[in-house]
Amino acid sequence: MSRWWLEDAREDELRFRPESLPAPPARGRRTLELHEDGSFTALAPGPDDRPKQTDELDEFYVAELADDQLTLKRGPRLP
Amino acid sequence: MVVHELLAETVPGYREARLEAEATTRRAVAEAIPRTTPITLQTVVHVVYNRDEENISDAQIESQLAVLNRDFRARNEDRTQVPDVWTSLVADPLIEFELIETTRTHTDERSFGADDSVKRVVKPHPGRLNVWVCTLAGGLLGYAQFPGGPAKTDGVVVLNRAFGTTGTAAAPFDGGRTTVHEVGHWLGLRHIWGDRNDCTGDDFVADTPRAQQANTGRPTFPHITCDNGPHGDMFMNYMDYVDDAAMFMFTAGQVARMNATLEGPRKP
Ligand SMILES: [Zn+2]
Repeated sequence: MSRWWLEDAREDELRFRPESLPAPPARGRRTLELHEDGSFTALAPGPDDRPKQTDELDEFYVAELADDQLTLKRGPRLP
Repeated sequence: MVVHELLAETVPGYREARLEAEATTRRAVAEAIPRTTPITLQTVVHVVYNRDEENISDAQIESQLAVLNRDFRARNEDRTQVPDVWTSLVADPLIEFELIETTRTHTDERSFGADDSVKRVVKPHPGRLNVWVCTLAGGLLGYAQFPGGPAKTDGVVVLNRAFGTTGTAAAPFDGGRTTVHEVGHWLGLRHIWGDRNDCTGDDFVADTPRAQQANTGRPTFPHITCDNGPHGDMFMNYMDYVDDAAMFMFTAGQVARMNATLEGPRKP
């Protein structure tokens, strides 16, 4: 079972909320699919604004995972 | 909740049709004789609702039409906030919108994804600008379809809370600019950063500066990326991702591209 996360803030750290929590509308929001093994697939708005798989977050790793927040930080993912 | 890939890319003939539309558009840009009289797009709004409050009022729909008719005629008062260095690029697309029909359809779906599913609830009217207004999952504001896509999904989809300027429209997306942005895509415009975050993206328009990535919120001028100083990103363009109150211009190059779309793949 993978879980979906919606972007909340984009600073040095990127924060995401679970899709089960209400999300305010946002222009350009990115989303993550967190896989059971801890890896993730990122989506960003494509040329027509539909979410589309992206490599924009390839240089980030999951730094913290709580029930209501997932935090990404810049750094290499474990091999 | 999120589509993994563009469904349209799996439609037979889609790639060829899109490439043909792009080629026609570029020929028309190259050969264009600037249009001097306004063109009117006959517009159909499809309200698809589950809860009563999602069945937005006629006044809210009219407020969106007013924004389209203002922004696509460069009559928006906030264009005076365009930085001096770019005021000469502000252009009037000479496009007007006439609401010819509103449909209202109840659905059992609480929300829709960006997968064209709302368009199966109410089918588009051929040869018109179709605008679906519904609740979208994941806080998505809207999505579009470029020229050359399948007729049965042609049009734009906009979140009800980001539609128009009154009723359920909610800040900071209560300026009607989501629909302006989506109609820009429908007329062939691309994001000003060119949809690549490494300064190699191209929006196929010469007078918009290169930019690294989308801007959000309400940036302050100048915001420099991609060696695009001293003026930086044209984040106040309708085709960036800033808040409604922070976007207020199309450029002459973008207008030429929209007009080429209207001369070519979307010729009325
Ligand atoms: Zn867009």
